[in-house]
Amino acid sequence: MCPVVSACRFAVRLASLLVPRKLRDDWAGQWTAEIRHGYALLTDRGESPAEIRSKLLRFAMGAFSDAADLRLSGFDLRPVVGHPAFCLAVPLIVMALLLASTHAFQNCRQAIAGLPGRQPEQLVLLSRSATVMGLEAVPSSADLLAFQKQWTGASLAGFLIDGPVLRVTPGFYDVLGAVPRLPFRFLGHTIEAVKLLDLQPARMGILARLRASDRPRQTEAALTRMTNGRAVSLRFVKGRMRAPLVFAAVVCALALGIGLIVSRVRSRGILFYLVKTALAEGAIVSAWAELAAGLPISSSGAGSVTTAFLLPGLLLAAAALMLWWALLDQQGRCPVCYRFLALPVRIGSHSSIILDRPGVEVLCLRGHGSLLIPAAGGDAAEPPAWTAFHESWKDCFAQGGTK
Amino acid sequence: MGNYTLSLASAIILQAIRDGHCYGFDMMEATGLPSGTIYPALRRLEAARLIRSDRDAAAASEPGGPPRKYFRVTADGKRALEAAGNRFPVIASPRE
Repeated sequence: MCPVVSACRFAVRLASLLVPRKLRDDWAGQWTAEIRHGYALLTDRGESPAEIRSKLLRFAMGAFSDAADLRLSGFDLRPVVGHPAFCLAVPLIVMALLLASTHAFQNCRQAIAGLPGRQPEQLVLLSRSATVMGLEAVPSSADLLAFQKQWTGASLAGFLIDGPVLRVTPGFYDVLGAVPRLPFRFLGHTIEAVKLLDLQPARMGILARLRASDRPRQTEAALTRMTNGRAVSLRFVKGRMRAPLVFAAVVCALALGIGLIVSRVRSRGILFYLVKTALAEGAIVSAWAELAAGLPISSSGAGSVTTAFLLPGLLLAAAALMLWWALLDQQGRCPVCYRFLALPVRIGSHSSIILDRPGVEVLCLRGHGSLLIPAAGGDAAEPPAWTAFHESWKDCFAQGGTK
Repeated sequence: MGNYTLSLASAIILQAIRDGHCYGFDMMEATGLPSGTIYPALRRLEAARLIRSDRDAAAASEPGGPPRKYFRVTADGKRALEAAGNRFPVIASPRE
């Protein structure tokens, strides 16, 4: 036998391993017959050995693509997607991908760690009233005077972020407590050069270092008291992500609570529902927190109004979407094995809503029971009704029962 | 036939079969499409009843070897090819 034909036959045999067993011999026979025919045809035509080899190998390589198509076209994804582990695994995979692609939540870690200086917990940004995102707004000169009068021990420095250049007032490094090596991260920006401000700008960010004796918690309380009713507050740089994360945690807790009330989850399904929803919401919050922490505070430290509204809105929308999915998913699952219910059948009659109520009945393929979902237009408050099957019914189901 | 819409590759393959290139290798030669595109398309065309396949024992590549499979266009396939001719001008009108 010609070596090229043998090589092609070997390729077909190898590809045939992908083909479902019952089709394999017939499939390989068809490809092999065509390869032999092709060899005879090309030889009769007087083509050169190199051309014959090239054409036949190209033909035989298509066997892999054909075998893969045959394998995948017969592959039913529904049992995999319907398995309860699938919806628990997806958020975990998303979180693992986030962990890998963000260098273990680099932005969040940097936002929590604060500025690259001595005792970063003593550094604060003098800013206008906080938004829900905890973004800062630039203080006015009156705010600055008020702060200096009440907080005489604090040292202050002004700054303006101009792309990769940080423009600062004299004494900025004293306030920061260190001279960081370039490049360094400052409020979400990568700073490649530091220059002195030539002229005093109309508005600039103000960084303040509190007295060493000030305990952060006590100071925060005192600052909050001081700023009551003045629309001015001090935001600890180190705790920049605290408010957004508390907000995110509250959103998650609300989603879980609302879901429990709305879904009327049966006692058996509560744990599955809670784990599934918490994982899904956790994946959303992880992605959102990393995005929020990575957004730079603009120019002089002022927060963008668009960002301040867009980001919480984004989180609320994503959390609501996840809750909606979790509820729909829970409703479509068997309360015994938590697999998807299948084979929907329309039952009942709209003309007899008392004795023969209309609705859709879906079945657990493992024989655990059926769920009757009442048709729209009837009693809106009527919940879907689960009917458990007797053990003897399980013999009627082909997929192996509950064992 | 239902609402089966032919892709350009499927239409070219269907046209090649109608023009007498009934075997897989011949179709690859006639259309220039790779075999990995032709065979999955043939399977889908057959499932849509646009072509019919049969075994040709007489055309076996060697005595006692597996019979080759050949394909023919059905009446539905001819109609689908005509419709494809309107969508893809590159598909020639059917031979008489």
